[in-house]
Amino acid sequence: MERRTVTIDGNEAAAYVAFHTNEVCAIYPITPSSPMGEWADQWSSEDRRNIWGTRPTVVEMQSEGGASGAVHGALQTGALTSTFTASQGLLLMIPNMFKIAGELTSTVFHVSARTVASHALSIFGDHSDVMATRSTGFGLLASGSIQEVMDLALVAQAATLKGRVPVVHFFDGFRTSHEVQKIEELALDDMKGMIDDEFVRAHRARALSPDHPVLRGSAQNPDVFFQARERINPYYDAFPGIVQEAMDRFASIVGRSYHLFDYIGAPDAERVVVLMGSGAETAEEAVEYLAARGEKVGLIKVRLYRPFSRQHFIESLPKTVKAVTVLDRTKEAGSTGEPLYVDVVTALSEALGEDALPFAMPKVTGGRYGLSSKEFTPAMVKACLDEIAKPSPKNHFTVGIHDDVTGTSLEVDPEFTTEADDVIRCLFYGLGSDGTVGANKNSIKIIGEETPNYAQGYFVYDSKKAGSVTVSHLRFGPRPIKSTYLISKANFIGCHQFLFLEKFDMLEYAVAGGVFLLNSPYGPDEVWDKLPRSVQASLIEKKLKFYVIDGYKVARETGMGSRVNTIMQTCFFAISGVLPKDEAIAAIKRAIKKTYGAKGDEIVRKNYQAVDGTLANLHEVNVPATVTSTIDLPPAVSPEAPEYVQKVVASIIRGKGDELPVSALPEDGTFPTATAQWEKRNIAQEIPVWDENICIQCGKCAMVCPHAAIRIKVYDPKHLENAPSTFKSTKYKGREFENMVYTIQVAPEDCTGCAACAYVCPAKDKSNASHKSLDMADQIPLRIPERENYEFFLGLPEVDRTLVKRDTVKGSQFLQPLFEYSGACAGCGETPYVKLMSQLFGDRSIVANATGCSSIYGGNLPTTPWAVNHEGRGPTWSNSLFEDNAEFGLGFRLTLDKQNEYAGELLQKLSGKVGDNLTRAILDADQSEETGIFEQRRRIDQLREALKSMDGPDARNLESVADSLVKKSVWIVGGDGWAYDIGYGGLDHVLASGRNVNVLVLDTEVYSNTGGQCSKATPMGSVAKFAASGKPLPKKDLALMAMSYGNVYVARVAFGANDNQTVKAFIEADAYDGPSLIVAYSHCIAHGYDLMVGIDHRRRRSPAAPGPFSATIRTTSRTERILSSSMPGRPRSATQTTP
Amino acid sequence: MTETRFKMLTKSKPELAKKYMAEGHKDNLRRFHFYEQMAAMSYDSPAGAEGEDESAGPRDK
Repeated sequence: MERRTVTIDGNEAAAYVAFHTNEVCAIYPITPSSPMGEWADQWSSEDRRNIWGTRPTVVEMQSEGGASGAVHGALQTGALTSTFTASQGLLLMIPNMFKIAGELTSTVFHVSARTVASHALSIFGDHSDVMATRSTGFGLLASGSIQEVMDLALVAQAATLKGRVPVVHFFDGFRTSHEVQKIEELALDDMKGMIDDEFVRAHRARALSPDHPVLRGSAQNPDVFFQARERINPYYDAFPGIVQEAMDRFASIVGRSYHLFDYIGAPDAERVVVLMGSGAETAEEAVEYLAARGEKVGLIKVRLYRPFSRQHFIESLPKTVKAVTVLDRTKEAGSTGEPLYVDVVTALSEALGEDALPFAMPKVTGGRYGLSSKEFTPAMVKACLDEIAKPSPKNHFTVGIHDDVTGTSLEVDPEFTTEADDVIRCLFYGLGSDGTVGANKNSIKIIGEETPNYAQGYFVYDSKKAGSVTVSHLRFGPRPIKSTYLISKANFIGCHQFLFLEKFDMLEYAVAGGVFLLNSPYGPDEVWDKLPRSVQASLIEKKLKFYVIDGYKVARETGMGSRVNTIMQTCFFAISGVLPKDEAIAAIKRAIKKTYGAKGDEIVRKNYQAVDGTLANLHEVNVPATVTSTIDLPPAVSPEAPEYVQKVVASIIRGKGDELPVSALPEDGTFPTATAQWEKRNIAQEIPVWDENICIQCGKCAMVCPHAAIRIKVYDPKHLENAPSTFKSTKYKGREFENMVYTIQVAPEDCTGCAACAYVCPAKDKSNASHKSLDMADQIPLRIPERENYEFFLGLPEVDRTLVKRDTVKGSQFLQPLFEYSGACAGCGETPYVKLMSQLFGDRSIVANATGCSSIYGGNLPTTPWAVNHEGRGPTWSNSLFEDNAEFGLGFRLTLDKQNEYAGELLQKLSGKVGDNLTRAILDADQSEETGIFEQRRRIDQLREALKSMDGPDARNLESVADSLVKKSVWIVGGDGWAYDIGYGGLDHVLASGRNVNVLVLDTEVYSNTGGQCSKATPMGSVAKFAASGKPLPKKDLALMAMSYGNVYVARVAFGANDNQTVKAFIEADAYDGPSLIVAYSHCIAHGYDLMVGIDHRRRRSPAAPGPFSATIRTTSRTERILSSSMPGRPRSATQTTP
Repeated sequence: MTETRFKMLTKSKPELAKKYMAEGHKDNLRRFHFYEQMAAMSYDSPAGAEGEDESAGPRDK
């Protein structure tokens, strides 16, 4: 049978089979599984059909809990149904999984296995989620490569229909779900050959129907539940055989052969490693390499992990085996061993006890590897096999880390490699926003589909949204590629950002005689003198061929802005010669059309122009014989940074986090705040330059800045005495700070260059319309003088907060931001709100942050933007989950209120010793304004002083809770995915609780963090993932729903549309002694425009100039009356919203 | 139509885009008018209303 060769990733491979062999998909986005649902939705919107000729229905639910409920319902009524998920999402499905399995229901859940959040969230891959479902009764089937994902997805579907045991078909998140490989695509006839319609009809016949009614899902008592539970046993006993049958049938149709446990290696192996997932590919490469060199080693790839077939496992082991080492990609703290290890020990021990072991009991050890996509290399496999050869090998070991706390780790030889010389390996360093990854995905497809080569692409991202670094790892060669690990020896290295040369020593990965391609603003004659010493040295020592192109110049000239992706891609094909030049250019253009066609002809045309304009600008550089540079790599962080930042953060920033030992990290996931200030990223090409002479001092620039990288201070001119020569100031124009001076200062190394500040600046030069008070200018020449200016600026005194009119834009922007230099997108529409909150209440805020963009730019290592003031006070922050954020924040309030009450009781008890006056002053304090809060803090200091001299538990207990007597502000922050969808039930309950919490919904009208999926906030007609045909229904009105309670302060805000209303809303929300909800419209990169002009999109969405999809209420005076009107019987300060 | 998220549908499914645009606009106006009416409502009890039939609901100013 003719089958196509395709170059796709694991998610697409799984979705392809699931879509064609099901009728319903109920889905919910979660990284890294979201693309599976997106593919299914897209194909459905394109009217593609499954193998029975009907278009599957794809429905996005509000959570994974909801998705699994819908799956359960659809299955119970007879539809072939599937879903896609990972991590916490899979855990939310567990209750339904018990039901689905208990009812012997045929289904396959496709899972891109991802770390379950514990001490920290991680989007990367391991088996902790899948292992948490072991008790549900689902079968667990593992795939280790993209081809296996497609093949075993079909095997799973066929087996579940026959065997009635539901299956989790899983593969490693990112390593497999996002790795691009050239594979053979199954034909629809293959699927028809595998799926027996008899079992499909039997599935339908078991469905609930009033035409043949039954009752299912009964409640049972102790008399019969147990017996009924045991009725399933025959199905589980039979299921391994059924899966093997399906594998055999697959082999007869397609030709690829699989077994429940596949053995690879020396036929007389004495040492065998056992594992599953993508690590088994690496292990195969290592074992074959070692066996070919005479080592008696082997590998068991576990396919069907549950039901675990002891018989099949033992039969798969060579009779010569003397030692088995079992590797688990998960950790179960406190267990006798990780799950696969325990199952292997049990299987061997039971067989030994029953005299059914065909060889002497082997030595068995277990270890952990690869948590959260930690690298797993052939050298690590060798280390495990070497270890078990020792007389007393380590058990319960780890491999891939350095455990200097409990000593579990194995030594690994970093020089050991198994990669063949005929495999070409390429590394590309790009910016997250420059399109490098997209272009490299296209390159891999071009190589895979237009040459006989096998090809593999894997893409590593950091967690910054602005200025993120992406590293693309591309391999191609004559044989299928099993190297499921990163490239450490590259033939071709492309650096798409000149700035990276001072951040990473990327040429350490270059092989001798390789190629280095650099996007450089300097031409072939001048670039040498601009290179750091280490780069020059590598070029010379490794005899690298060196090419430069000014990609940004070509991009500017062809209308591509800052996107250099197709330009660098064209260079790669031209230099590598993997395809003839003309063929390569034609293929690149076809890929461009396919990738960008939906976004409009103009984008396609510009990309074509960029390709055509590239080669004339590509130059080879003659590499001199000696190193001449005096440029050294700057330190990752300032020498003035705290010790933790120097030791830990700096390593992570340098890309050397893998080298940190266990002892360098905290036991419980607790980190200091105020660390982003040390991470000088220098990602802006241009930064704003202030003209103080035409500035009208409105403060809008600082208000819109997403990164707190442009700041304002008003201060006594006496402080200018030692100002740097280029430091600017001007006379302050307001009355409240008479005779003071005013400065707007950019943080040159923290600015992302989004230009939102310059765009919003209303102060134009009357004599030169193109000149404003803020103009953008090249960063490089300004970096050093402005660095000095910024350091001086930070040393100026902060404004006296009690003198500031906080409820205005101008006044609020005098306040120190305690949220600074975040990794959010350049021009982000969310962070100005978060920053504003930190300015107004940061010194007394406790933040509960739903998982999403705000939790990533707020809490992803290496640094956090949450900062402290000169007193060391600042927001304290935590993220629980995506779905429970409102409840999590309510918990904060419950504690604060309880401790406040308890502290009051203790204080009254001790008032005789503390003094009646101080006691009364504390208990009766008016903390409605900042002055009152400052005074209360002073009283608490006095109280603490008094308590020092007192003995007894009451005094000690009061010391421990005394801070709760100072007003705190609880902020529950998250995006629309949380507030409108997955967390709505909890949010609703918290709003109804009447407790004093402030909810800030950063409403981007789409799931921004997971890549732009539709939420209930998405407006009608907007195209989003899971809404490929446009959202057919209007946006949910969350504010109106909250208003229905009658006791909730509600505001809808959009700075830019009405700045002052925005500031006032925050102040009123904090002041209101009850639940408050601020729905904050936030422009977003997912909306598809340059974020510099985000402010325009807020204005156009206001009722004054309603666009067709504008929201219903913004900030007119009429609606403000609603938002701030008082209700009968309540003081105006309550600013009630509802009748 | 400067946002790609809306523009995409006008290219892939122009008729559907037109329909959604019209319906969305209508919905926006409906909602805005609803808020306008709420803004115009008086939340004070009308003079001498004590003891009167409360089922009549709030009255316009």
